[in-house]
Amino acid sequence: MNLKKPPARTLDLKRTEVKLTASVNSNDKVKTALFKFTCCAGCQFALLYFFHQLPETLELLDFVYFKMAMRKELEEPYELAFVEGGVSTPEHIEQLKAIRSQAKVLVAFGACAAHGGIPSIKNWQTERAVEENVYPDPLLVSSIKVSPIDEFVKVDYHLRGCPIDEVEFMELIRSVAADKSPYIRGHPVCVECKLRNNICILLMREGVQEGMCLGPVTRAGCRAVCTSNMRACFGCRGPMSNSNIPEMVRTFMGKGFSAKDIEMRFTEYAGLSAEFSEGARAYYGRKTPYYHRKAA
Amino acid sequence: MAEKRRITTGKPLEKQVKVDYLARTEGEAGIYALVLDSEVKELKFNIWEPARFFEGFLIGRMYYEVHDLVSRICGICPVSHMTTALRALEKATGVTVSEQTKILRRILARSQIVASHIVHLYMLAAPDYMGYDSIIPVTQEHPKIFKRFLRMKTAVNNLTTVIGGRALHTMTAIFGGFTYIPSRKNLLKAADSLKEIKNDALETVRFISSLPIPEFHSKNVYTSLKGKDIYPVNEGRLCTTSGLDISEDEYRSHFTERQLSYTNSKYSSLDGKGSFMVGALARINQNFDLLSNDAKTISNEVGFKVPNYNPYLNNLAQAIEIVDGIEDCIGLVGGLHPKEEKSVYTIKGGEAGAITEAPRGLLYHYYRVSKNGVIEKADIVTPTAHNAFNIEKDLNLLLPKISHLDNETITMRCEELIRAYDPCFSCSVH
Repeated sequence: MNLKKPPARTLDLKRTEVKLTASVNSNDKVKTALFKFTCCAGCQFALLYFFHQLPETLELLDFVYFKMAMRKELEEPYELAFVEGGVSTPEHIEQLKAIRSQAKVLVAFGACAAHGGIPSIKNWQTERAVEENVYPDPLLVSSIKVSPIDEFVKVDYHLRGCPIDEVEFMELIRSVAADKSPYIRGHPVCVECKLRNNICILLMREGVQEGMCLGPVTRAGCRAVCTSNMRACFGCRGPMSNSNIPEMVRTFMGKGFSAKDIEMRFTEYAGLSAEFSEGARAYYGRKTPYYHRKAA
Repeated sequence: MAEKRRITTGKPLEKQVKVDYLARTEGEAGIYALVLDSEVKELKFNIWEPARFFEGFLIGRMYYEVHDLVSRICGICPVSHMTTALRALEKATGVTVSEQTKILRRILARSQIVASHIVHLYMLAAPDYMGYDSIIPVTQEHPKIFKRFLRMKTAVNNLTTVIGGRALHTMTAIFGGFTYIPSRKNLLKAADSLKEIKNDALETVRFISSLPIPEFHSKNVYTSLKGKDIYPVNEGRLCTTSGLDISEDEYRSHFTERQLSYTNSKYSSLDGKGSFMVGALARINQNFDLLSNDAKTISNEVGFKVPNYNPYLNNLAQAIEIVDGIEDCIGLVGGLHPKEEKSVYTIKGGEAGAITEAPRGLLYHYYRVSKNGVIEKADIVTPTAHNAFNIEKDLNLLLPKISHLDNETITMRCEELIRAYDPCFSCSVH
């Protein structure tokens, strides 16, 4: 069967762009600091380079600390703190607490900060096995299990996704600038996917990469970018609220996917979340992550 | 420490470079150097970014998801990790891909190399030479340069998006092919917007060559792939300027890695002897003849000659690669008549390595896969892990030459040198 791709490929960002005519006085801008822990730096790089609305971002935010973009040491005070990446060393915990005590609004910036992300896959093996496979002398490297930042401090908002989505990011910074809560979606990716007139790939396509779609249990906000490109959702935004994981696993089993496939799919990006680790164990039943997160 | 002291002053001329967290690079690293009487007493190039153990946790994962996982090694060059992993895995499991897939992967990788060079030159490297802390003042004071930057990044990211689904962490490339083949119409539209920035690319070369780049010569062993008749991106023979010429399968018998106590990145050396440089300068030094005519003309215009031994000029080499890369993408897109393909394959167990050129240089991925498709061993060496040893070597050479300057200028020069290598510390501690 030939599945045609829907015509609307990317949202026209120009239409959603709000032009600020008068330049905002720098005193009115939100003082912002961006910190990086254990991650690929892709999310801050997206903000710096791939987002179309960089000029508008700079109108709203006054970056006091942003090492990848600026040669400037941290300057307090700041109101908004973005923390990118998961916690993987003891120093991160101390730094995180210091950030929390300073920032009015703390945002988990991307999948690694929100759920541990891809580096957290190592939590499913013993620390020693992982370290010995990489370094000849593991004693020279300091590392602990990867965990999301809300394990240690209160997080005000989560910008999920690998990488974060531009529309959601703009919604967040506009809301913070206007001192209101942003609209962060709780519904599944399926809603956005249907709004884009996509044919359901979970029903129509085969193969792990093309048909094993986690859309029904994954939180929306990505504008269904993967499924619109004929790629099954891999759950990088983590579980939606009230997700029905057992039914998702049954659907996968019905499609003939193996236990290994199901375990892999649930543990790629947000395997530490209570819901997805339940999915990973549901069928396989053997493994639990060595560092297991408290149920939300 | 008992140091030999200068009799005339009674005190040695002491210079210290201390940077805890190097700005405007990807990831986290610092330098500490102590220079006494123009002699380097201590030098530590410390990549302190926490290790992420990719080679460790990949073991036990399935072959079809590896390219997705490894693309998260780097936020700037995800496509390079993706295409390298795919090629290594396909080679290991005995799967062949279509010619169209190879061309699409080449365009994808090339467009991302150009994108990475643009961001490095404008946002990370240039502010040093223009006297700014960051690009933010440039938006106000040099709007022309900033607008040129925005035009270029939009056009190049657009091409990556058309093929890859989005510009960062593309998702259409999968094991065996693509989930979705873009239409010729969309490809040509993206190529048209690339044509509009051809002039901007030439202006970029002129802009970079007009910056006050320090004179510093360090004759390195330049290591890169060498193309036969096209500029190397996804395949080629591995050659060095010291005369090595091997296929990618022989990589491990010549290149070794060792772990150091003060840095999380492993250091790579060639034939157990010494450091080598990878990256745009290494590529151009070895493949100048394969550049497009426009790229050659502009190199002559700005007086860039190969072989070139100034590591600071890696920046200029990147600018020249932008010109060539845009031309290459337009040409490849023009000759491509995309058609829907269904890739059918059966996998067998095996092991193989693949080498490609990432924006920052030579990238090596190796995997051993069981007959069920489970990864048993992974070995990844990133461009910055290749370069780390050489960066330290160059700093060692540079410091005595500039030790008469004040501390701040010395620090600046060292930072500029490291930034010229366009390092990605996140990659190096993958």
